[in-house]
Amino acid sequence: MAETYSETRLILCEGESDNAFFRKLMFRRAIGGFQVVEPAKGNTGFGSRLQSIRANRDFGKLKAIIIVSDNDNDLGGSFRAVAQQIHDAGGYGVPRKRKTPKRSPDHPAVAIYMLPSANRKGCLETLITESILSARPNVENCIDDYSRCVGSNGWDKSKRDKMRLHSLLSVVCENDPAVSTSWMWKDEKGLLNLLDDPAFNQLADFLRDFPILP
Amino acid sequence: MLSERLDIADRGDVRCRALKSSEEDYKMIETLSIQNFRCFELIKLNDLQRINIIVGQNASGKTALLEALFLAAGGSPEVGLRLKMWRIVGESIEVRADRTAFEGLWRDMFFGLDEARDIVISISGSGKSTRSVRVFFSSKSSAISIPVGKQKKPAVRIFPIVFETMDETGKKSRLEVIMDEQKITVPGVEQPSLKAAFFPSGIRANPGEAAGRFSALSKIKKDVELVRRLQELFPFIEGLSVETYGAGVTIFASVQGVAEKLPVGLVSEGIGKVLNILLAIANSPKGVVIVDEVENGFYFKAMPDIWRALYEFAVEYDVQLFLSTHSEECLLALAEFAKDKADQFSLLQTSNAGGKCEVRHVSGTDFEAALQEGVEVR
Repeated sequence: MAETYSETRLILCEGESDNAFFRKLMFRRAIGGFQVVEPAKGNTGFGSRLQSIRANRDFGKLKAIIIVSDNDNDLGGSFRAVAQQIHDAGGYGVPRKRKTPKRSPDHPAVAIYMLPSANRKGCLETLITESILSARPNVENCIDDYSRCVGSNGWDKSKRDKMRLHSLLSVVCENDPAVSTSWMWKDEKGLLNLLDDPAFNQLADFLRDFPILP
Repeated sequence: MLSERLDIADRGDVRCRALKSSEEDYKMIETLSIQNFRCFELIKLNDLQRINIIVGQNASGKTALLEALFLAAGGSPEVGLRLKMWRIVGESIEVRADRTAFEGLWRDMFFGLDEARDIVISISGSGKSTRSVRVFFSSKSSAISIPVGKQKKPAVRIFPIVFETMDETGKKSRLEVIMDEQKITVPGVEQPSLKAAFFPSGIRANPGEAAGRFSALSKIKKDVELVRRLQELFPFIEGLSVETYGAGVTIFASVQGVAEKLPVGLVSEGIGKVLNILLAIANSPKGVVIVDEVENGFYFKAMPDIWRALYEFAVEYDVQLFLSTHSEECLLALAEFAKDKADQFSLLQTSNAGGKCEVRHVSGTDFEAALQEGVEVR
């Protein structure tokens, strides 16, 4: 992976589908100055990824790294788990609060953004599901009935929302009912207008307002 | 024009006898600083490890970094001349007996070709021990070369180049190099040094020297382990021995399916290279082995096993390795091997900005993470 950094601020996500979302969200909302880099290998891969970024020749150019992770079912625990990985990577500043960048000498600042938002359980799929249901409110009862029928209502919030999103994608993307969450943001899928939904405003505002650090 | 050929033994090692105290107390090199040497104006590297990998583009200072280390280890003018032969002029150096030629012989060692600024290379180990070499033209003393014989030439005034070394106790040794009509003269003063072997890129190791190393190992019955290591890498090698070959001696290999023993170099250049590096490690206990472009001559699938052999030998003989490479396959092979040994490695990334080289140190853990994740580090 010959990764070079053309921007001084990086966005580091858990996986490829998150990356695809962030790239399109920033493009759609005209948010610049960030580079979405190769993702970590899941939510336990941030520490190793931070170390590998430090081995990159362009490391000295970097001003900030925003780590994006999911709250899932444990608001405090998920944040602490990410912070612990940053700590274990060594050298980086370890944020004590969500969305607040922390610096340390010779390192870019690090900030943690927890999805869907600071005080809600869930994940990125939670927000996307909300955006689809905003656009297609008529299917909300259907998907709720389906969830009850198949017994997924008892699942953890994130798993439930992932299941709901996949089901909804099959419904709203008639030209490719098998589309994945990584590919749903391709122009030809016709779903980019979802990115205008208020569900993503908080995230977009965070990126737009993120300080340009010296 | 009077020209003289200065022939220097084609040896890739520096074996000036170490002071007893320094040899016993020697610790692994942890820091290296280089001032005004080749493309380095001033750099300082910390946290060097057992295995140090150097990567970078062409002309970014990889070889110069290795040379600086070799010069610090040897601290002698002979090392300086040998580096010049390896890098520039080949097997011998032709010099004219005049001041310009003499100073030109050394000038390219100085950053920006500015011989007015001293070269200072320092290494320090785990404790407080430090050794350094300072190279400069002496303005306080000069030698006058007065030609004799039938061809009358004017006397030549030469400012000696000085190689001043300092060991960990602060004791200094000073060698002044002068030149007259016939030769360059280096006073025979014993200097403190640490054992170091250097394998420059594109230069084959001297077969006689390798044979000598093998013989030395054989005398203390450690050749068996070396052969076993080689057989792990190349199972068709049945054994090694030193045999006469032409006017000299060389290492021969007994190879499965071949009726007669063959010089190792004829069996395979890669096998010869592994053997030479392992021999250098075994003959440089508590020292340093330096290899420029380590991957050359090796089949890529053999690299993980070669890494293992180099590492384990280095640990066994308490030798530190400095290895440069351009090869991604070489680094990927290291990724396979380096798991759980990250604290034994460091990565040094060289770069060149406007003729001035810099070196960036990457810790072993970051290096390993990058290798495991397939991140480009070269």
